Parts: sequence; C-alpha cells; structure tokens
Amino acid sequence: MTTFKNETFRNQEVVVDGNEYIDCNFVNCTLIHRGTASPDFIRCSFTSGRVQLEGDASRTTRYLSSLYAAGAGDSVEGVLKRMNKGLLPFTQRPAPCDPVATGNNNGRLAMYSAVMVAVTLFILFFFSWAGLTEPRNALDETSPAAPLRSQIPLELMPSLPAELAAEYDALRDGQLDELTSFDWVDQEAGTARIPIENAFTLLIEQQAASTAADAQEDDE
Amino acid sequence: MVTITNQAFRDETLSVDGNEYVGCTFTDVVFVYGGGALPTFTKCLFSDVALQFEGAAASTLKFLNGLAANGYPAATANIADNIRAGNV
Repeated sequence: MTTFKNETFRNQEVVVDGNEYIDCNFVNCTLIHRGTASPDFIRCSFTSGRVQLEGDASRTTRYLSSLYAAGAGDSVEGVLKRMNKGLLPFTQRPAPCDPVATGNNNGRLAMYSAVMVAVTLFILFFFSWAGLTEPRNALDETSPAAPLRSQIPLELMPSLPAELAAEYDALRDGQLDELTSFDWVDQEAGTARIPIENAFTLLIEQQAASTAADAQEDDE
Repeated sequence: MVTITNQAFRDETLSVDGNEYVGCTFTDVVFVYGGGALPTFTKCLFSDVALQFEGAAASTLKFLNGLAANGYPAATANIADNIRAGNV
C-alpha cells in the first residue's frame, strides 16, 4: 500500500489498487481499478475525469449487468442505489470457526477456575500469615532517632565571614575582660568593677556577716 | 463450470462464481460473488435475492462506493447506467 498525501493528480491515468489517498485532488484523471485491493480515499476531491474498471473489477460490473438482464433487476438496483450514495455495506461471510474452539470445554473451564481459586486462596493465606507474624503497628527500635546536629559533619557547617568573625571575637574578648578584671566605672562616685568571682565571694561574706549580726541582736 | 437445471433454491446462500443456472427459481436466496468466472442465468426466476460480494468483487464495489462517499457520485452513476443498459 502506498499513501499519497496532499497531492494533485492532473490529466493522467492513476492505477489506484491498494493505495491510500489523503487530501488529494484528482483533476481530469482516469482512475483505473483492477480489483486486486480496494483503495482508500480520505477527504479527496474529484474534478471531471472518469473511472475505468479492468480485469476482475470489470467482471463485477458484467455480473451485475447479467443479473439485471436476467430478471434480478430489483436486487441489482438496490446495490447500485446504495453504491451511488456511498452507503454500500460490505458484509462478508463469517470465517469458519476454529474446530479447536468449538464445543463445550467444561474440563478446561473447571481447570482454569480451580487454578484461579487456588491462587486467590494462596494470596489471602500469605497476607494473613504475614499480618500475624510481622505486624507493622510496632515501633522500629533498631535505629532510634538521633539529634539532627550529630548527623551533620562539622566541616559541612556554615562558617561566619572573616569580618564578622573578628567583630564577634572582639566583642566576646571585651565581655570576658569586663567579667574578670578590676577597673573604675565612675571614679568620682567611687564605683568600681571587680571580677565576678570576687563579687560572688564578697556577697557571700557580706550576707554571712549580716545574718550573724541579726542573730546577735535577737539574742540581746 | 457447473450447470444446474430446473432447480428451486429457497433460503440458501449460493456461491455463484462460474456456475450456469438454467430454468431455476431463487426465493429468499443470497448470491455470493467473488469476482471469479461469470455465472450465467437463463430463463430463471428471482424473488427476494440478496447480493453479497467477496474478494475482487467486494474490492471493486468498495472502490466505487468510496468514490461516491468522497463526493464523486458522477463516476459511479455513469457506471450504474451502463450496468442497467448492458453496456459493460
């Protein structure tokens, strides 16, 4: 089969047997059909021209003509009218049945049914057994959850830019210096800063002395 | 070729290729023609005969049918006229 698309045939003889014509134009052509294989015409247009039947194809028209002349005109007329409207059905005699596929194959049907039932029962048994022996509603304790930070390698952690790191270090050094050194806060007012460890010790001693003094006053 | 004489066919499907029917009657019969040798009908009577085509005959009618379906009924009308007039 050859397929022709969007072609224009003009002033020529076209043997159409077995070909497929899609969106083709036939202008003043002689369409020759020899009855070997039917062509297909899809959205084609025809301008003037004629049809010529040869070989087996011409015998078909002679058969119809002989039937018409013999007295079966009504039957032939029915075919011609439907043919002229493009409504001719092409009923074929059904192909003979495969002898293997005839008769009642109850034995084969029973065997296939038994196999299907067995497979279904096996699947049901498998899932029932699996549900009893391997229930999936228990927590998996084999790999407890770990903190996220422990899962991230340190080398992959993001680092501060150099300028911010230097500023951070200077700020932290200044805060540590304030917490661990002696200095004046307001020398005129007599306010000084002492290391925080010394401050804790001093507070404890002052609190102890105050408690002892209160107890002595209570005794007197 | 098989020659069949003075026989009545009723409710049958007949493959007619190449046969010669003489003085036969056909009632509610299906003629099947496959495009082979032409059958001949001499002094026969036809009543409710259906025509069925196979092989080359079906291909030919499908071709003509396709032309009519694609807007080219003039060609098939001309062939139909020739069939009626016996000019084929």
